Amino acid sequence: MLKGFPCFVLLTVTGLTVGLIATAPAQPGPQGNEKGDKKGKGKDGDEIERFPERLERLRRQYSNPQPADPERQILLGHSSVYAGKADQIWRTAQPYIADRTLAAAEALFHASDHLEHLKEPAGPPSPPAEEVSRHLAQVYFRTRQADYFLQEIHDNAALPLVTLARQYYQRAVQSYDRSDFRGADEYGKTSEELVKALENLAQAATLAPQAR
Amino acid sequence: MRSLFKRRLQLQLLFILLAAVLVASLSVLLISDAVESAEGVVLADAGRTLTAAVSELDQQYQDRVTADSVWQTLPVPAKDTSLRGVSQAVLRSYPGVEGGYYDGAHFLGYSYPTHDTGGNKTDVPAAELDDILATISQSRGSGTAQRTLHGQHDIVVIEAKSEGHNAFASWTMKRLAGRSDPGSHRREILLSALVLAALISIAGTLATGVLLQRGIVQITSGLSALQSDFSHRLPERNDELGEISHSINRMAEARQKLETELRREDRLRAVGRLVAGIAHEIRNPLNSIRLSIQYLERRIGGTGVSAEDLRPVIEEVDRLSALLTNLLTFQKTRQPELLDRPVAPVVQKCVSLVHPQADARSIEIHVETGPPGLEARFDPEQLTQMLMNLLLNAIEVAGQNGTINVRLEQRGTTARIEVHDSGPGLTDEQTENLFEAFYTTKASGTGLGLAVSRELATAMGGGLHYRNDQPGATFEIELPAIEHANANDIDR
Repeated sequence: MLKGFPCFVLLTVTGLTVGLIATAPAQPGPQGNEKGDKKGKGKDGDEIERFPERLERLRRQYSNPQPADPERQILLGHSSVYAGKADQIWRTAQPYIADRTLAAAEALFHASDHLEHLKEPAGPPSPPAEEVSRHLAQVYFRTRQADYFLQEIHDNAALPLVTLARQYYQRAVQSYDRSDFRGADEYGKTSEELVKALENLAQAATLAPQAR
Repeated sequence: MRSLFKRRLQLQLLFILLAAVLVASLSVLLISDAVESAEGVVLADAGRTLTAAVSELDQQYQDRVTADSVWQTLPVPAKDTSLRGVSQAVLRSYPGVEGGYYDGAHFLGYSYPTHDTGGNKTDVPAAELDDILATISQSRGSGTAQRTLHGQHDIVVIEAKSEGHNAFASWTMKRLAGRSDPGSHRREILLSALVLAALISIAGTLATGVLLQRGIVQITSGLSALQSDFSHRLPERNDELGEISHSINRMAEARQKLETELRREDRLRAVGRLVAGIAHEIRNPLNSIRLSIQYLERRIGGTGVSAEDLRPVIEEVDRLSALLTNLLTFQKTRQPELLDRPVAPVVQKCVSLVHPQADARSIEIHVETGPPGLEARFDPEQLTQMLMNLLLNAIEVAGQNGTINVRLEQRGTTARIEVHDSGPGLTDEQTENLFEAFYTTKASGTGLGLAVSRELATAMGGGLHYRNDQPGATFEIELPAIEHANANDIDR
């Protein structure tokens, strides 16, 4: 059927198509077999484009002196592992999966930050009780999603994150019961960041073709 | 109306039947209403559940989007995963509810956490896909929309919520057990059983009514037959009415025995009266004969005996002989030889036979022979005997210059011969004993004439009656008339 069709025309069209895709602004990394919407852009700019910058900033923060708090050490350890994974994935030309994995590492780092805030005597002011109460309800709802995200991740290494998310939620509730609204707020945020990390990892697993 | 109220049993049965039909109909209606009402309650409850679930889904979506600055940049599968986490968490609190989101091009975050498979169902139900999209589309106009689909096996309720004309929408869906589910099937079986039981009840009532009616008709007709024939027996039955029939039969047997006994006693009384009458009747002629013989005895010694002297003896002997003849007739009436023939010639003959006696007393006899060719079934000899007896009696009581009217007529199936005399008639006491054997008002009568005549009339299938028509008396002989058509046939 294509016997009479000039071969040079086919080669030209294929070459142009590959070139266009390769020069697309949303695709800074090498092309992979990722699924997903490749047209979206956030208000804060393209997170994927900023991947190297984000990874670099995170690594700089890891290089700071290790915190004495063992809980923070655990969280930073997990964060560091996922940042490394994100870097590896980035190098395998899977930018969206790398972005989501790096977002998980960032979330874990933010969780560690919230624990750090508790140690600061002159930390952020204590929010009103009603606001903390509403926030805790939302955190509780997020912790209910943790199991589903873990199931989607297909990696038992993420299981401690689920356990930690629940533990910090419990601490938030206990702090609230003690009228320690600042503690409740920070522990709640820590729990929320852990679930967010799980969600990001689940998104990464969903985007990976081999994950399903 | 009166006859209707007489049939109270039928009315009661009819009432019971109508009540049974009414109860059955009301039961079916009530059950249907209850089922529909329950279905309405379940649908309303499902609607409220879906409204709450879709509102919560929508709220959680809003929270999720506002909390994540990069949400819009996320690829669809990533959004799908995040939103499935949301819907899983939300819908876990709503058993039987499934749902998710729609961004105008894709279904996102679909989940059914309480599904039998353990909540791993992630594919949007294909069968309802179009209806879900239609509900979402409808919600873009009014904010929310709800749709109920009545399927063959289940009822599906879908609710969607959109923020104005925004393409993004939340939706929830719930399946309800429909009329074809096992519970509904059981209800249908029970309903059918109720209808069947009602029909059996109605049929049973009808059957009972018909059987009761038949039994009552049998007993009623049996009792009617018993009025004329005590040998008749009601048919035996095995039900309660059979016991009544059995009791009636026993009563009839007892009555028949009693009747036989009474007849026997009546006959004995008649024999007693007969003996008394014979004794009386024989004693008078014997006295007369004795006197005549004594007179002859005295005359034998004198101038001799003449033939006139012996006449009283002969007359009294003749009278005794006639008495014995009547007695024999009364005692042993021969079976009538019934023949179909005209009645008028017999009447004419009897009237002509008594004319000399009537003329001797200047009595006029008027005869009306009625419709020409009137025929009846009778024994001519016995009818002649009856009619002669009545005519001679009439001549005796009519008196000098009296009149006798003989009229022949047909009344229905009866040929009637009336003999009316211009005599004084009968007193009540005489009327009461008129047909008793040996009862007579005449000095020389035997008192057997009318008794014998009535026996003869009854034996021919007719009767003999007395009617007190002041002035005078009327005797009626009734005979079974022959149908006019037959009479015409004979004429031809």
